[in-house]
Amino acid sequence: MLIMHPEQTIIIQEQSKKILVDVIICSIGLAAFAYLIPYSFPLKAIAFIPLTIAAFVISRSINWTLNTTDIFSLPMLAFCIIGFQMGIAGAMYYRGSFGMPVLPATIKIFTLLAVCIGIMEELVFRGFIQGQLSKLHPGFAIVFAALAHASYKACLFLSPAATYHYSIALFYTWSFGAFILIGLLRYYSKSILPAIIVHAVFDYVVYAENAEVPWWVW
Amino acid sequence: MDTLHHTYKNQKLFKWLPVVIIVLLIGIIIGVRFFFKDEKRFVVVKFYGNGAAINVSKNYNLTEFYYSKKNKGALLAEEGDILAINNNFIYYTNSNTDSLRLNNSGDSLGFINGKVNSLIISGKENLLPWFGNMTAATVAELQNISFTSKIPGSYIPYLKEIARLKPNTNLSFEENDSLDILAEYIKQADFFKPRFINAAITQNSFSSLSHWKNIECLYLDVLDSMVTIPLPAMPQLKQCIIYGDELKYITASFFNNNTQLEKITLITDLDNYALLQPLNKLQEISVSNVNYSADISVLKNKLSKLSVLIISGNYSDTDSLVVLKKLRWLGLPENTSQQQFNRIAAKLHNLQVLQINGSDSVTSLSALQQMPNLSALVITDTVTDKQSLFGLKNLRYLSLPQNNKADSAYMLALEKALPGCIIVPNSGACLGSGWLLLLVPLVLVLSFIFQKQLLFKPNANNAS
Repeated sequence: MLIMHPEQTIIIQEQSKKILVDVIICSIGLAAFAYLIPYSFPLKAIAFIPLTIAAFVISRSINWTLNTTDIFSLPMLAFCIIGFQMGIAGAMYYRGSFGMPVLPATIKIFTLLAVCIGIMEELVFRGFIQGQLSKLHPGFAIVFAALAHASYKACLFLSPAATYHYSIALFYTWSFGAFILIGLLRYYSKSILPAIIVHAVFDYVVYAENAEVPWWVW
Repeated sequence: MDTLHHTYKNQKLFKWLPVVIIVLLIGIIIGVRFFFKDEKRFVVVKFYGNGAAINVSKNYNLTEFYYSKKNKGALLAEEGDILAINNNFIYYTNSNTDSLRLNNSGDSLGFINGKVNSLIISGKENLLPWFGNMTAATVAELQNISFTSKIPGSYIPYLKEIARLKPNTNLSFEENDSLDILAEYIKQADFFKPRFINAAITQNSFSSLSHWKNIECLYLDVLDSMVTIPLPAMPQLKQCIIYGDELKYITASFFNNNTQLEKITLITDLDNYALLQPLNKLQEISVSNVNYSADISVLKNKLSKLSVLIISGNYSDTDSLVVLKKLRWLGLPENTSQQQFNRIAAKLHNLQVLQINGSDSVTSLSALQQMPNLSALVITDTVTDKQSLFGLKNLRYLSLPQNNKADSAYMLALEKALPGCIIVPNSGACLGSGWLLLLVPLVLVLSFIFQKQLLFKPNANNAS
């Protein structure tokens, strides 16, 4: 039986508080960034303040270590295949429902940027936010990261400067559901890699033929 | 013991779970592919340059889509359509190319996206210097050769070389009062095996068409007022476009030798459509009729198979359109009443493209809200109900008459209400901001500023 000294309990409580404060600041910072970034310059510049705050929080807590031992294990291979399939299935359904051929026939240069954005989002939301919170409670971590990620996406289109009037509630619900699935994959695989694969494959397939960058990207 | 057994069972289950999920996901991928298998795919083709374009295969009131250096043009098409752009024809077979930058150099060369796409043998310009510098790379994207005059003898070796490099180059034979250009070509330069032919022709020359065995698409500009003989058999022919300014009658046996046809476009005033009777594989019909009320009742049993039906002018039986559940593209007849319009909107849920010739009889477009799959709307002539367009959030393509475009306040409001429409046809909202990538350098810089160490530990826990 593990007996904790009062000093240890206080340290753990303080660490938990720090984690919570960090992920909340980071999530709000990213949502604020998404809300402000659709404005044109010079107003756009204000968006970089919350982004810098989020970056600062991440830089304080990030652990620059690389776990390479499990990457080539059989279970990891299985999770990567599942991630790949999830990305493909999601992208095919998305393309089909938007009247596009389910699989792209050409690949344009923009898709590389789309993949980079997807990877970045996974590193932040599944990597940092879910990774930090999972030290407190894994289930809460998955839900919080999905909520933060969906909010970040929704904020891009909620801004008065944005010109997107698609049903945000529907978009939010779909995104939240997808991010829960990705969060579960990250939790069970104990690695960010399968989650990155899902997002990268999804963006790669969905945006393969895009010659033009959607307005909200830059 | 029980707990141990339970744990063992759980471990065994967990071992199999990834395999089950992988198999399940394979099933989902196959399911999604199958679910969207038969969907008709329409592409918004964008034009840059100067001029006007028309989708001849999907002709509706001969609506042209203008484009200029300042404003790009856009029209709807699907693979296999014939697009007429600045008097050149494009057999649109690759829907992945949806942005066309057009440029005409002099009278003889047409460029698309910087590559030679069409060649015009007109006698107005000496092509010999160009032929002299011609390489395989120069003609790699050549799609069409247009003949408008006698072919100079000095061109023949070069045409032969082009035919060697690009045997399936499409051919266009234009009207010339003093010369039968088609016969002249066959006599002098019959080297090509085109898949598409455009010819200004009289019925006396129909027999020449049988000469080409590989034709998939035929666009005939018929110069007669009456056609009394059928087309020769062309076994590969899938699509036929008939245009005739003077044409008043076509024999009912016209298509008897080509019953395999799938797409028909008739841009001519006919008082009966008996010629369509033998066509049992028809999937697309576009008829244009200004002087008569088009009566295509001969097709009654075949209409239910159609995926595209475009009727310009008047039509005698608009009510019957509500049962055509397979339709993906509909060009509404001019004489459609408000009630008929509402009924069609309520019943044809699969419709993706709708073309309306705005008229006083249809004053409300609010019924369009009931069409969940409607992604493209073309309104020619007059927009009778501007307000309803704001609610069509799923539209990816909207074409309005030129006079509406002059109302800049309305257009701005519409663009704001329908983002992604025309301008960004293939984009969704699932991608975040690209500026997020700045996080990487920001985190790195801040880490260094606040003296974080960069370590490489093979077994350490990974937070990111």
